[in-house]
Amino acid sequence: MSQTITIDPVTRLEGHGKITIQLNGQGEVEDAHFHVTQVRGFERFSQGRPFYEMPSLMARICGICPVSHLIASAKACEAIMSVRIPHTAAQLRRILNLAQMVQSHALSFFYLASPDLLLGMESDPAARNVFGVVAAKPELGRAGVALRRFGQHIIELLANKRIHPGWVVPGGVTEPLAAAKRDEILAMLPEAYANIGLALAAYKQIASTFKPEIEVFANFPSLYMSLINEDESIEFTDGALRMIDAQGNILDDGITAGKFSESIGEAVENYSYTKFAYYKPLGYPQGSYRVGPLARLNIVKSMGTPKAEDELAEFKQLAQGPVESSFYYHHARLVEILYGIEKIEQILSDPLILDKHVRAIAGVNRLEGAGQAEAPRGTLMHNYKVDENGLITWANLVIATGQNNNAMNNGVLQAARHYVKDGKFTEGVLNRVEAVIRAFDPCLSCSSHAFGQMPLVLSLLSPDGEVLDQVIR
Amino acid sequence: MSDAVEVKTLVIDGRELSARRGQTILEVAQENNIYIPTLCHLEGLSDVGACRMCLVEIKGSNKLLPACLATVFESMEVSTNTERLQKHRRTILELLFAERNHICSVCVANGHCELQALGQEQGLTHVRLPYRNPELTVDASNERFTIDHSRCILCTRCVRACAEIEGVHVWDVMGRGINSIIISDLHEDWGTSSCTRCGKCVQVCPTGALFDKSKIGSDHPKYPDFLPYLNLMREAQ
Amino acid sequence: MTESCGKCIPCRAGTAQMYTLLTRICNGSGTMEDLELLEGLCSTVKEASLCGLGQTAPNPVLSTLKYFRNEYIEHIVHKRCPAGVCNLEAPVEVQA
Repeated sequence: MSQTITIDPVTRLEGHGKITIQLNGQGEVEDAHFHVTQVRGFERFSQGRPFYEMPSLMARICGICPVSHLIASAKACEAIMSVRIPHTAAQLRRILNLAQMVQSHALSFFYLASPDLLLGMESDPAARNVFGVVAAKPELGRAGVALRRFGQHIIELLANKRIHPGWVVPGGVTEPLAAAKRDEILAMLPEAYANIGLALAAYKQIASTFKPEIEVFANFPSLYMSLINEDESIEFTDGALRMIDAQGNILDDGITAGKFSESIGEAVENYSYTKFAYYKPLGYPQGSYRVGPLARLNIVKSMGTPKAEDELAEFKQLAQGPVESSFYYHHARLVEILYGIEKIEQILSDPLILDKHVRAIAGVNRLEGAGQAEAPRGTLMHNYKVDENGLITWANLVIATGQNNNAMNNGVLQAARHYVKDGKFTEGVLNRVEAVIRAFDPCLSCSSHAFGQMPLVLSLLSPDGEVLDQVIR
Repeated sequence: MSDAVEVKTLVIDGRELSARRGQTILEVAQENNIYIPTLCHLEGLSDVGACRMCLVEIKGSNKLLPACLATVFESMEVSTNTERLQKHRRTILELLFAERNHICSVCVANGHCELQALGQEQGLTHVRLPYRNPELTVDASNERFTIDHSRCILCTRCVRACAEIEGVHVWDVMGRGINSIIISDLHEDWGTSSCTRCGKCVQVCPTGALFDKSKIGSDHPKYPDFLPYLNLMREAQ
Repeated sequence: MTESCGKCIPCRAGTAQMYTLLTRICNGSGTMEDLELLEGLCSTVKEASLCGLGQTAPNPVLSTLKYFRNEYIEHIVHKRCPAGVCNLEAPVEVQA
């Protein structure tokens, strides 16, 4: 008799999704899917709006990485305006993006993932949350809270608002950086360094105890894509995209936002509202690829900052060629936090950082524009078409979660096959299946809304849909 | 009592005041620092009494009168802030918020919007009426300014500023009832209309319906205070 | 509603909202809160409108609310039209 196990919703991630696992008559895992269950409709209702309103409109997609949407959207608008933004504006945006990356990674690692990592996959679900972490490892809990505050506070200093700041506009930013604010950021750095050092040490200490999970957490060869600088160092805001294959060979390079849709296609599956991105020359699903921290560290040759450079070298030792287990997203995330802090310090020493020229003004000079940036979770691309007056006629967004979608589905299947035996499952087993998704830190709010109460319901269904067993937590 | 008496005495909210003949209740109240909420009224423009925010109660009459238009008479007793008036004011604001698409968070006028400020001041915590969500257009054909009909409350300040102050009368209202809409010239694109690009309409617009393209993302306060001075200087010539 | 000139808010937006609420009640998707809302709205349209049109527009609603209130309640609570006029078969949300 076949059965379906449903994990709905998947907890401790951003947004609302569910997992279904289909078992065959022998109780073996037949298939597994990760569903994103709500539709947002931003592409539709932005139609008819002036293009220069898009950054602030699009930032509302997400409260965690609004900055990535702001930047990708503003860059798409700048393509429509055909302008290059002032140097200082570009540098300030870079700081903003890095600050957001630090806070978002801190959220993912400390609030969402660390309960599994520090307390154990099988630990008591009632305490397996950030409060449990704070109780068990107070200094690490504090470090996580402090790193989030560090990122959020920089965003607030630069852009006057922690969430959905209106500071990033087409053409640059609205306000230059004041010297006092720069000094305040600089003063925050030592504490941030100490906190990330603590987290990296703790992670490395426990990583070895997760060997079985590392083996089956979406651990397979795939393509990877991320932004990269011309000198092959890591980049979040500018640069161009590079695609590498499972062996680490460069498949495609120098993909600018304008050329994005030539290389990347999107497929739709009937079980999810999130699209599935793929590399066009290889087709779907063979051309599926991974983005995000793991992809970035697999692709880049250097970090460009001394401390992170050492960490990158250590990370590269994890495998010959690209690191394949998605468990290492956690590791990559911590390395990137360190890089983010170092890079913010580096950019703040730019002699032009307090310059007053931070915004270029222009009208509609092209009828289509695209912009891309690295969100904490991976590559983000906004593509707009406008009419002669600059009103949006068409919009498309390609979100990191959509690009990791196939890998997440395969990862769920891989973990489910490994852990669910003879149709039996425990809470700890299902938590591991969820933890695969957590490793990717997907932002489902980019394609879905969470609403109402969110209880976790595990149901065991007979083939005719009868509920055989149900656990509600 | 004859019309020859120049000074009228009246009571507003329990205060005994004196006023000149022909003054409106609103003028007298403002001279004496008594606050009456307004929306379509703007110093320097003619009054139309359309928004009904400034309605006041007059003792001895069941009818509510707009303070911006009603002139004072001898020994009238005015109440400006009764429970009944508060209820009507809140309902009127609710009607406005539900009529079109007022999304403060992404609006250029957020923080500088008279409608938003009135909502806060009148204690409007939520809108009970169903939102109408009409699909309305944005005219961005003017190279400097944009009109977003979603945010328009049809106060006609722009119409009056253009006709009375600038003297061009580009703006007017088309249609009737709930389908009324502000148009430029004979319903042409703003960019190709007879507009002089003076920007007065943008400054007098109480919401984000009319805005300066270059101000997107920045603070966009409006400065309608120039109108009375402009009128004064013109009269002096 | 179609007679409103659109100048003052209570008449322009108020009559349209009255129509929406009445339609809701007539097709069976109305609630008792809607009834309360409708009564409050009518009083504002009546008292705050600029001219005689708005001031008298809510009268039919107010008088039926006064003399046939039970019929409104029948529509809302029992999804039934005592006069047999409204089609309450398939309650749907209607936007005026």
